[in-house]
Amino acid sequence: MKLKKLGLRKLGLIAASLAALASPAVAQTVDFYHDKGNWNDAYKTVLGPAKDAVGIDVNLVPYADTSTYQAAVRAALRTPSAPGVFAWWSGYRMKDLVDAKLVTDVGEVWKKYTDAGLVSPSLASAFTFDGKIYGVPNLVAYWVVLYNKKTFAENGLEPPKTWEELEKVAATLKEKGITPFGQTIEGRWPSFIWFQELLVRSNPEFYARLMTGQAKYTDPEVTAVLKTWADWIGKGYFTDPSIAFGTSGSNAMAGQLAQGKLGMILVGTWYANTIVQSGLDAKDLGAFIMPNEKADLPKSVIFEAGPLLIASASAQKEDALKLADYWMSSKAQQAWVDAQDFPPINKDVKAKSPLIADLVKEINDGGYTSINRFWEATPPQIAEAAVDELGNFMLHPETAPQVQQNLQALADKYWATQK
Amino acid sequence: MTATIDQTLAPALRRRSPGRPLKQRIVPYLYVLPAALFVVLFLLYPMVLTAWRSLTRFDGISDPVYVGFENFSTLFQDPYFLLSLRNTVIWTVAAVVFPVTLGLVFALAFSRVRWGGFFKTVIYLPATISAAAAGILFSFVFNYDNGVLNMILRAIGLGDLASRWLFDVPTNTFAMIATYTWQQTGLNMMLFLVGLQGLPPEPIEAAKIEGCTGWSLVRRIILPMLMPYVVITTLLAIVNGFKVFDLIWVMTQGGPGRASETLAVTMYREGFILFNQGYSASIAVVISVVALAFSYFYLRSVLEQEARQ
Amino acid sequence: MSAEVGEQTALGRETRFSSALILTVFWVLPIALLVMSAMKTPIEFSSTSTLTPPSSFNLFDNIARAWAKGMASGFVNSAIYGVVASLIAVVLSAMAAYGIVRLRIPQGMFWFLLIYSGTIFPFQMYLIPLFNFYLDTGLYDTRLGVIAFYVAITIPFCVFVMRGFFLTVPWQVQEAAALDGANSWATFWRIMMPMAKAPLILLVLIQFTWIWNDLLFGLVLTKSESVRPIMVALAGMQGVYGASDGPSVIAATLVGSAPTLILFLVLQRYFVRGLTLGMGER
Repeated sequence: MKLKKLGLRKLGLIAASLAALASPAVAQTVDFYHDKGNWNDAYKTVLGPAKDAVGIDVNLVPYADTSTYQAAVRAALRTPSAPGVFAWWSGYRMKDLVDAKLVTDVGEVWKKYTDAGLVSPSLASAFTFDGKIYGVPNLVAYWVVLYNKKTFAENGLEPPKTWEELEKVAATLKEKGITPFGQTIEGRWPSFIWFQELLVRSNPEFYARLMTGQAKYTDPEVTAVLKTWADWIGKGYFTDPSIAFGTSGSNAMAGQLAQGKLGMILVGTWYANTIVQSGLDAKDLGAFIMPNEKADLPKSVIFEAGPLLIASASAQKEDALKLADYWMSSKAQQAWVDAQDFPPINKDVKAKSPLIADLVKEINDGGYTSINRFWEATPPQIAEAAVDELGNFMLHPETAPQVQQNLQALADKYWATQK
Repeated sequence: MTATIDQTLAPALRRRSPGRPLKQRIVPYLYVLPAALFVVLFLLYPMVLTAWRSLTRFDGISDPVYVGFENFSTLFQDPYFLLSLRNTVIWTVAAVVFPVTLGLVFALAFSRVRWGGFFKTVIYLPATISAAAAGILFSFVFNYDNGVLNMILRAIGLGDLASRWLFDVPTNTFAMIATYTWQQTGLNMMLFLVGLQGLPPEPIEAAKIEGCTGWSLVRRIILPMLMPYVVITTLLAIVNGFKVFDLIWVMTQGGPGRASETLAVTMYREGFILFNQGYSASIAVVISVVALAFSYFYLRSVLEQEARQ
Repeated sequence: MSAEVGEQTALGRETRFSSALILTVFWVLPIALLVMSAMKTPIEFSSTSTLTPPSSFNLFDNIARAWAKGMASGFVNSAIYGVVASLIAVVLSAMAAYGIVRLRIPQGMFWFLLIYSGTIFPFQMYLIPLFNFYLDTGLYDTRLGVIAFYVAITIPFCVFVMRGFFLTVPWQVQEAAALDGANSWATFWRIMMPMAKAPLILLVLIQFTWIWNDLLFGLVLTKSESVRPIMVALAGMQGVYGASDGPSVIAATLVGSAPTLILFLVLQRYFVRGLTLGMGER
């Protein structure tokens, strides 16, 4: 008899606790770390509703400086204070975290959306390692040529569809005293922008091999690219490489485009906002994908995808997965796109500006392949040092052979450690 | 009334007579320990950790691997290390010569000019903003197309001198040193003003009555009395010259192509950009050892000088 | 009475004055341009040259936009950190310098170098070890932790300067106090510290400025807006990715620099007199 009573009481306790667990609890907190201070308001707008929708209270932690951010997150990842969700970089920049098992597989979250046909599975490629997906898309951008429609119209120019047309546009602008292309080494990292584009436009298959160490920086394909680039620099097609790009608060490049002194800027689509803020009316800003050097090359566009990752060691892991699921939903993604004017990843989401809408349509309809950026497609140990060399090239194009040697030395040093 | 070692030693020797009660001997420690504890806990402990880290290979996320002195031998054979070291020496020498000398000159000059207080304020203004802010500000000034400096040069017909200040080597290092001087002079000037304020008027009056004036007065009477402050500012300048980072990182990131890197910049690059934390720690150790050695020898020579007076 | 280092002719005086004036105009030019930029609208900022004066006075608009982005809590936090940490550091440092120089602690040079060695290390290397230390001990993201760090990092320089000052105080002063029956504490507080007013106030100003302008440690040792100092809030406003509003960033920087400037203007009368006064005056 006593045993039965004890048993019943125990059952009662168990039932009560189960009931407590099942009922909606107080909102759980998830720490959300990122390094783009001026996006904090956008995150607040998008993630605020998560409290009511999935019971998650998001605690945003913005870091103002990127390298400090990376160091702090890396230091925290192995400890229980690891952030629930944090913004990061794709490809090789997250590979070491994946290899060290510091981030969580989010394949389940993706599956829900790809099964429903809302998200294209190919978008996960930059976050996939060994068949498993580890991040959801945060920053999405295509690298295209932004141009001033007014400047083009005034000079009777159309966005070029072939390489020859591109060269003609550049030559015409130059004749009229307008600088055709913007390029800069301000901030150190932008020097890879034209390098990657010219490589992809001439030989995308070589580019892919170069990124993974199966081709050399001293190969003739690279020599050809540097020669074209040096040619154009010599013809005065580029701005002075010291022009301000926005890293330290001044946007001279955007300003020049807005005023019609500069014709085109090769940059990520996120720069459009800056150009509009510098005085160019949004309807006067256009974009085109740079044409391939040879017509028989497949259509491709360089893209940039920054993921949100979930730390495996974090105590908030389960809630973070719920948050990631909410993040990919149409509701959250629409709010995100409205705030940032990014290309939408979710098919139910409409692009904010006509510029992006047209671009996305062209990319989808035209069957463009997406190619990952140099910055993430090759190991950071190479990329970070390579931009210094490329910057040197931009200032002194005649040193191309030496630059190629130095680049290959960097690559050799890294790939040797991987044997 | 100069605080010479002779005078300071005498009373001290008397105090050190054996047989002083324990309580009295503990007293100096009570004064020194609080400050020392803060420094040991928050500053020296991380330094020791870093020194240990310099003997490992560590990328921040996997386990550290002990490699002995490999980082140091790699460092000393790296051609960029020599370049970095050379830039660091240039910086340290310049950081001592310009802001300290100018600080002293301004401290003396503005004491005897109309509106002296106003001028002193203006000179000090740049010290109120951070080094990074000063770096950004002067990045605008040195910009090739629409920076103030080039615009002024072109306006007065010296357009040929207009260059890409921050992108030409070694011009960029000098441009950054100019920015650094702009910011640091005010601080040194203030330190000297404090020193000047504390000088007893009698010896100066006496010297003037004897006909010693102007530069001679400064050199023979005022400067020797200011020695502790000269030591402070010089030593501070030496150490800061070794550590300068924010300004360089903001203005050139050590570029172009690593040409304007100093040891502190190289250290940051290796640790925070390339995640070679062990290698970065070894550079930190080198910086500290060299700075400490400089400081120790400088202090010792100054003390010897004082004793000889 | 102004002390005269040498004769002053009327011409000499005018030349000195004019050269000083020209010098200060160039010296302050970059800051003047900064202020001008802070008054422009964002479009004006990107399209006109830095030398062009603003066409209208937008300073308050720019400041309002910057303030809306969340500068208020940073202001309060940095004010607390600056005042509390600099005062604690200055007092502890004066005590330490007193113990080393005036009380002649045995192995004084060792103690001095121990404390001084806190300055020789490049700051960035403290970041990660301290970050982990703070995570382990629960000091992370606390005001106490931040203040403790700021005290520690400002002590070495203060000890350095106070040692220099105490070396210039004649021994007669200490002897006289001892004869009057004062113990070391009384001598310290009632005689030494008042004498040291000028360097002490200068040190408070310098350390307050350093703490106020710190970005790195404020960034790494905190994560909540309620604990973060002002420079962290300011830095979050700029960047290439996404629209950054040049003039409001600059306006925010100016507003952020205002307290250190105001503090200087308030405190300067204690130490800018320079050569005009001797030791007898307080």
